[in-house]
Amino acid sequence: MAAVELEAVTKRFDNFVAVDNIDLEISDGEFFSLLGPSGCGKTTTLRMIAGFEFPTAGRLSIGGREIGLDPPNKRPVNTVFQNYALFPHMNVLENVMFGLLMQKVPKDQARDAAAKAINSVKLEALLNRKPNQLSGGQQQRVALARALVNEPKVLLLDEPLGALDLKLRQEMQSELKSLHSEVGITFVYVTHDQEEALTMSDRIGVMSEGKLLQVDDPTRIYEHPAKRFVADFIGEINLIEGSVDSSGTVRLGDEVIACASPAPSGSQSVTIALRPESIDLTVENERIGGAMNQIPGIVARRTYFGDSHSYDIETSGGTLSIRRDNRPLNTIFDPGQPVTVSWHPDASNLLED
Amino acid sequence: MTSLDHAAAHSQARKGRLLATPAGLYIVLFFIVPLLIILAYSFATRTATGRTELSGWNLESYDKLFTGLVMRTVWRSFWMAAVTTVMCLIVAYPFAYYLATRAAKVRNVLLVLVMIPFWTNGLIRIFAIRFMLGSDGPISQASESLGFGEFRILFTPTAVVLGMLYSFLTFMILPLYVAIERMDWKLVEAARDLYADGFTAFRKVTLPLTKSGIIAGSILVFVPSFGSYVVPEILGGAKTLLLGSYIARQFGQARNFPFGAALSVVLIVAMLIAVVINQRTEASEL
Ligand SMILES: Nc1ncnc2c1ncn2[C@@H]1O[C@H](COP(=O)(O)OP(=O)(O)OP(=O)(O)O)[C@@H](O)[C@H]1O
Ligand SMILES: [Mg+2]
Repeated sequence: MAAVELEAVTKRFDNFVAVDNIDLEISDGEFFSLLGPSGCGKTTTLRMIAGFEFPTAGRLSIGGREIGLDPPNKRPVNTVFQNYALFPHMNVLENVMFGLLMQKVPKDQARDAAAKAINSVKLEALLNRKPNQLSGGQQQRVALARALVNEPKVLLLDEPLGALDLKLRQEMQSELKSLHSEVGITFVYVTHDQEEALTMSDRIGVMSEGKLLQVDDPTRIYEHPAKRFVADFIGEINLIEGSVDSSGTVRLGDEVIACASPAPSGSQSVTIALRPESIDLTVENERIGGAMNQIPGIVARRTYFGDSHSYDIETSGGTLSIRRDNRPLNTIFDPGQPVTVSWHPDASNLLED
Repeated sequence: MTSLDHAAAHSQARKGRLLATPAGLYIVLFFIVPLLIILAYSFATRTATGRTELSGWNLESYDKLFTGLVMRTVWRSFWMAAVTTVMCLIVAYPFAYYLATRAAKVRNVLLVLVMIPFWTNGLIRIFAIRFMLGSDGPISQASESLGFGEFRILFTPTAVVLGMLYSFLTFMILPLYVAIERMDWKLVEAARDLYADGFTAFRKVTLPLTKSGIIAGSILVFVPSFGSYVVPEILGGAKTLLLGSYIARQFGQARNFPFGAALSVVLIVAMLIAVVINQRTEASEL
């Protein structure tokens, strides 16, 4: 059963379309991320699920029940806000108890449950602190405990780690991940950090300008992006124009290449997406086994990154950027040197715009 | 810190002191000196002819504070100021809330509308109220033509409270507006998200978080109400003697400057206490 289901959901602010006709099904227990650049409508989507905004059009269901215009307090979801939104006039315990008391849980029962939730985020020593006496990371944990103590069907997280420094962020990422598998609650996680989305999620939905462009697991999102925007937004990638002839053969410059999928029929040109690390470099004319694509090129530039080298290679189809791990036995190529560029057909994806 | 930094900081501090001098002078001249004069007068002697002699310092005027009439007047003033404050709060809160939640453009227009009567001479406004409440005013006429008979409210404590409510409402609206406006609405959303209905979210989050505005507004209304003179003089009639009028009377008909000064000291001390309370609560919020 779907934990959250959006059917043709649109949100307009005056004439501005913030969320544009989104269809999305998030399964029970899933860690689902909404990924996209600033202003693409992630928060708006989340706020519609939480009940802070209502869709202009479309249907929204939680746990198989259409929730329509239910106010936030009538929805089985809880939110971890971007800047935590802890109640400044209440201490940690009171903050965490709040949701339970509002649900008419008896006070001592609420206190026990809250204390347990606070233990699970390792803040038992700070029960009586006010939020402004806590570090960012600690506030973050209180916000988590405050939401999770209610055992919602769905937990909504709006860039919860955005305000933390890198090290703490990485720590919290893995903590969130293990918390997710412990509690078995559906997480809907909003982020504009692609790495965060890739490392944490079961599935990712990539958004741009209010549209949901692709929903897939992290591997497919990274290795087989369907749209130019998705490819471009996530990681480094070569986007090069190829030509297609009437038989559907794809060419990069003068060279025929094989791709992960056939070219759309009737098209004359396609965008080929190729990750820098999926391309191999060998000395000119060296034979490479298997069904690899191979095209000749010339090294134009080499940049040292410590753990890797980056090369710009001129080919008849354009310049390709290539990344090679810096391992002791790897050949290092020099500018001006003729080389063979090769990659597996699966690594070259044809993109829609 | 290098010596250059030191010199810069030093000259900065000197500049600060220099800039503060006019303000300091102003405070001394217009606040400290008059206060000291009042304090001195409160210990002075009143001769049988009503003259004040700045000699023979004594506590006689302070003794007189503990008579029934004074106690009753202070109590009545306190009570009416309290009622005015509560009523201002009840009237102003919904309005300030409405104001703070409008779009910026509407909000500015409404703010100007709030300020306009405030810029009008207070005396004129009170006379306008007197006309409104009077037996030939519009309210009374309406009530008469509807058969409810004459509307008698002028020269009652109710009229005084209404007048003060109207006079000091702005003092309540503005701090409330500021407090509500700068509140983080995400917190209200968080409360709603945590299963509070609209009213509970208001009670548990909005109200406590705008406490500073409530306290500041209450003090700004209570203090002038407590010592108010013009409003009770014009709307109150003879029966509602309040502290402000009583003090004025000491400097007028009664010609008892020392006693008037002692009463003023009481008023000032009451206000100081209010201000200290305000600062305490503000400090404890941080
Ligand atoms: N209440 C509103 N009124 C008008 N426009 C709004 C409102 N809320 C959001 N928008 C607009 O909708 C678009 C999407 O906003 P949203 O907050 O969903 O973006 P986001 O993807 O969360 O971005 P970010 O990563 O910066 O948080 C933005 O262009 C924003 O200006
Ligand atoms: Mg956002």
